[in-house]
Amino acid sequence: MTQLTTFEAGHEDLIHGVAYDFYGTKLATCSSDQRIKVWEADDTGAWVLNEVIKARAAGLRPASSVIKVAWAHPEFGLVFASCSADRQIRVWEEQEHEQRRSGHRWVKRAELTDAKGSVHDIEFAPNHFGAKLASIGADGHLRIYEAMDPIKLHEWTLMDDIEIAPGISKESEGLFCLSWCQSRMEPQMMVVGCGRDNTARIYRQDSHNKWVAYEQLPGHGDVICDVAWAPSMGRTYHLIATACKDGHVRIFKLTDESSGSGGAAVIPQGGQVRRRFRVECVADLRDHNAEVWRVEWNITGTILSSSGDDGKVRMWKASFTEGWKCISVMGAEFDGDAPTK
Amino acid sequence: MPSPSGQAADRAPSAPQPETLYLGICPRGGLDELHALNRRIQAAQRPLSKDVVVFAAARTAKEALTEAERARAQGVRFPQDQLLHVTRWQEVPATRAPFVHAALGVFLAAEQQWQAVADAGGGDHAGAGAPRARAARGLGVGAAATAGSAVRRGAGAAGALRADSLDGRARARLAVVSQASAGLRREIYNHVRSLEVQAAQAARGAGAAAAATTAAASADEIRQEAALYAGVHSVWHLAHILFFDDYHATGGGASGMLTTTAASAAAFGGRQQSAAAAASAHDGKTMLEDLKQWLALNHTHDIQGQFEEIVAMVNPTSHPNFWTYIFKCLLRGQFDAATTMLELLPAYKTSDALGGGRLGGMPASLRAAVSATSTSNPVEALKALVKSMPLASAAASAGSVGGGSAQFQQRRMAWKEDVLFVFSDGRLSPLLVDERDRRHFETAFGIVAGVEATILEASTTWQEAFVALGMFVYPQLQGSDVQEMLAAVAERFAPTALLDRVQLALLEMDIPKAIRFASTLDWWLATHLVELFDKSGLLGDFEAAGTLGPVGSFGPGWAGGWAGGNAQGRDECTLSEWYRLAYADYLTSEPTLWRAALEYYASCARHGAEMLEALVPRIPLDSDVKARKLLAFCEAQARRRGGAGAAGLRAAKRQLHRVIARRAMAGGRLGEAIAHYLDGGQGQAVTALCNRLLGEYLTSGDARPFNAVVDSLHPSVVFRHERVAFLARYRDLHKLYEAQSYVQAGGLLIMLLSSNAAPRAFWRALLLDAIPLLEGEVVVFSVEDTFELMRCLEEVSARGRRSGGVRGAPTSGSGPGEADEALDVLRLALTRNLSRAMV
Repeated sequence: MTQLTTFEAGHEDLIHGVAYDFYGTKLATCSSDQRIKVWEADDTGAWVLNEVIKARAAGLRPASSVIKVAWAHPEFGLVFASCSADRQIRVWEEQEHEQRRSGHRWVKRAELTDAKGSVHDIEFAPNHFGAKLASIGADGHLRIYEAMDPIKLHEWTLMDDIEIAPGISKESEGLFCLSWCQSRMEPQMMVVGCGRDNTARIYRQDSHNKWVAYEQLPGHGDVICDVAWAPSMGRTYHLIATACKDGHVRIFKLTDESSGSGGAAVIPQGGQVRRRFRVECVADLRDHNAEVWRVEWNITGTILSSSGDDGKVRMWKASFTEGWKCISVMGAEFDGDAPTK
Repeated sequence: MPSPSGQAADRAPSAPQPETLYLGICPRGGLDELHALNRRIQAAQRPLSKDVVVFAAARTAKEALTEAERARAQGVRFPQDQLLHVTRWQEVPATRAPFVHAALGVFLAAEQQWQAVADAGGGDHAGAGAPRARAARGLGVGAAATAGSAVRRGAGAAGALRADSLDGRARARLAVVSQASAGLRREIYNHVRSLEVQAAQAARGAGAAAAATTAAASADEIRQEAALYAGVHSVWHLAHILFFDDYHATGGGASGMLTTTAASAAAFGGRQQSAAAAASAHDGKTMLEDLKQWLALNHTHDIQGQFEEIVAMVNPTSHPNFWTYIFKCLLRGQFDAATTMLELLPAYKTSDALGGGRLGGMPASLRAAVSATSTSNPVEALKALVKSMPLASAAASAGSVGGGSAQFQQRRMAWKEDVLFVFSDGRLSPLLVDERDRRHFETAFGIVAGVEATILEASTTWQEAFVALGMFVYPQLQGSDVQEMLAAVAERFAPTALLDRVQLALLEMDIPKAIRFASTLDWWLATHLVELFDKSGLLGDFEAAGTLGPVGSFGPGWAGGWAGGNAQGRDECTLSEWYRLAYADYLTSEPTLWRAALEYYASCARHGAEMLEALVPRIPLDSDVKARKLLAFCEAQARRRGGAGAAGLRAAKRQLHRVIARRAMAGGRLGEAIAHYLDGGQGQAVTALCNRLLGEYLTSGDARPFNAVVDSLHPSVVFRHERVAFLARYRDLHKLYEAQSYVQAGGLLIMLLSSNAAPRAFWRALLLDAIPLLEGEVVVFSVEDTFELMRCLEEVSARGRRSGGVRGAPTSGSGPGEADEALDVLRLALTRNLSRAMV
């Protein structure tokens, strides 16, 4: 394990998020300084600034932190969405004919303003469902948008607005997070972490195409900070990881019981066989022993990374016999007793 | 079978807790302060890579902080806040890339040959394997030439065995394994040699060219890699000798190795014996000879260098290592070097005439024996003994298998009696010129006489001792002998290094153990060992028993991915596939090795398609050639597979098409975009694009961009989509005008309108295109045609009135007033034409 390089993001305030694009050749950073910076890997592997984007509202609204960026699939163009504490979601597209660092390289295609509170998490749906974007935030609403013209991406329709945590003020305490199921073989599904009641639930559409909460991922002792649905890679089951303030990383296995022979779990509803997953917690990893903030799968769903308040980033891999094993650790501290700050 | 290296060696080394890479974002023990100042650590994984970017992130958006928190964090800035640390948690050494590709070439060639053998066995039409093999080759990997030639060889092998029996097919398979094993050994060897050259260059440091080739790797890294792969070579060479070499096929009972597998551990001894028996039966090539060669090639300890050093001295015999060098040569069976050295001893020099003259008339063997037992010179005696030592290889090539063996035993026993006679008490002493030489000569004779303790004492490594024991104590190298030899060397040397453990496990024929240790030593090694063990039919029983678990962090990372060989469920695969998945995953850490990774994934029958479906679309499309290659790769892979795998690969291919289309569109290459959207299954996007193109034509009136796009469409694309087909026909209409083929143009125009091929919005433009045809000298439109045009005109006019005017027309200027005028002109022309047509 090595540190290849470091580079200076140069924001004027703390960084909130960093996201690689679909290919891993571009990187977006977002910060409390209301700016998003896009970086590109050059031939030598160094990261070079592509553009600085000001993500602030045109009106009188006070400027605010950009909390997260999420890239779209490249079949919709060089596109990412950002969400901010100012309740806005913005969709950006790169104009390859414009000069880099000219201020015109990225144009805002759309601004989605339905949220009543700051937006905590956004993620594009897997591309086989079209140009769709899900968001969730402090107002406790899960919103799903779809671009009417996937080529232009300028007009997004709010397709669904689901109240995850009823009766909360627009700026609630607590965190909300979501993650789409990536499988091409499954209907639209996602896991949603609700910061108010320390739960994570599977949401999917019922027979009337209404999004409904189904299975719950049990056992969380505190707020769930992040959820990640693993790419399923043709497996017969699904894996979902959660990061929890109780210091645990948990991995849940979802096995489809509606298609199996176990008839008990099959509940006919509206003439259709309702899907039902058996949920087991297959790993409960306590190594962080402090608030865990993030979990993320690699693109084949074989490596999980987690970062926590022990100042460590841990990489996990399923081993042959011993369950999930920590195979790599990165620490925030100085090696040795270097006194520098 | 008791393990010679003790119980501890049987246990796989459990992976230690990973070491932490410290990034220096905060001081030791400074985490609490970091948190209090609204910071935490966060990471993001780079796709298709083992890179992770780590940074100090904000805990909470500043808008959500309490007053107190905000006051505390206000204005606190650290340079580390803005540093993004790019780390890599798994790496393929930079110097390994050429080897990975070369070895992949051999691997692919073997796969194709294997397939050719299977096809030739199953079907009866000639060359069944070849097209299949070609289809398997998707990306042009560096070693394509090797693969190609191997296909021909494979086809040849397949052809040859069609005339043969099933036994022939087994033999052909064995030949594939043997050839692959030899090929891989050659590639490892080349890799090590190349590294040594690079290390020498790096050590010299100077030359700019040297610096360029090794820029990515330091001299230390090169040396490390060279040392690792020297070890891998030793393991592979040993495995080749013990398991994969062809002589198993032709020698006695071992030919059953491919068709039958060992049922239990008890069968092991049997195989070992048969292998040993085989060793004494083919072209004078015995296992012992091979092991001697293995030792000479892999565990040299610089014999040549020492020889030169000693000989270069004024008085070589005074070199401190003079005698140890002689012992080493004897132990390794390098008798010429040993006797050359012995002859340097001044006290024991003899004239050449003595040896030959007196005994000239006797048969060679007898002569040697006589001289050894009768000479008064211990050097001569030793020379004569090693020269006359009967070798199993010679015996084997001399006669039939059984007879040769018995004869060999007899001769070996007679020879041994001679050795013991010379070596026996009292015989040696009178021969010594200098009493100080006694212990040296005793050791030398002890080695040749096969005194186990002397051999073990004189050897510097267990490998040396093992081969020496085989040469002097157990010349027939039976299965039971090997156990005793291993026990002896283990007791003396207690080898614990990983490399030793892999080698010992191989010699013990303990395949599960060998794989376990190999997977800790090197992943390439483990993967390819498993592959050839599998092809040799040596895994089956262990796989079923589930005793073949790898250790450490090796593995594709799938919980329950491989389930003890019981590969029935959708989630399970064979052990060899499991290893290939893990190795391919390892290769993805390096972009220059992606293609190799894809090829290994492609070789995985059960999970390969899913992995490719996820990975191929992620490979950056930085050139058209690459895009085409990836598309072709998906198609070839989809064709090779059926069912869900093929569907997934076709989905990946469609995804690639859509991305290419989107990029083409952004670049203004609409024709290309249309073609790829069609291949990507995006009919709607194609319709939208066509409408946009027509709209632009209508507003600008400039046909050139429109024509350019339509002309760029490949003919095969045109009739796959209704709207695209209309574009093409409309372009034809223009061409007919230009060629003044007005009658055909008129016919086409009517067809476009009456068949509803034209979008309604475009009718007006089409109708106006009819005006020049109506004004010409020739009557183009018949009465029916004219009525049809009139009908369309009325519909357009009615619609225009409803929507309050139509948009600009290509033939006239702009403005609704003018447009209506244009329709009036048409109405008039139609009326005139009706009267002309009626005449």
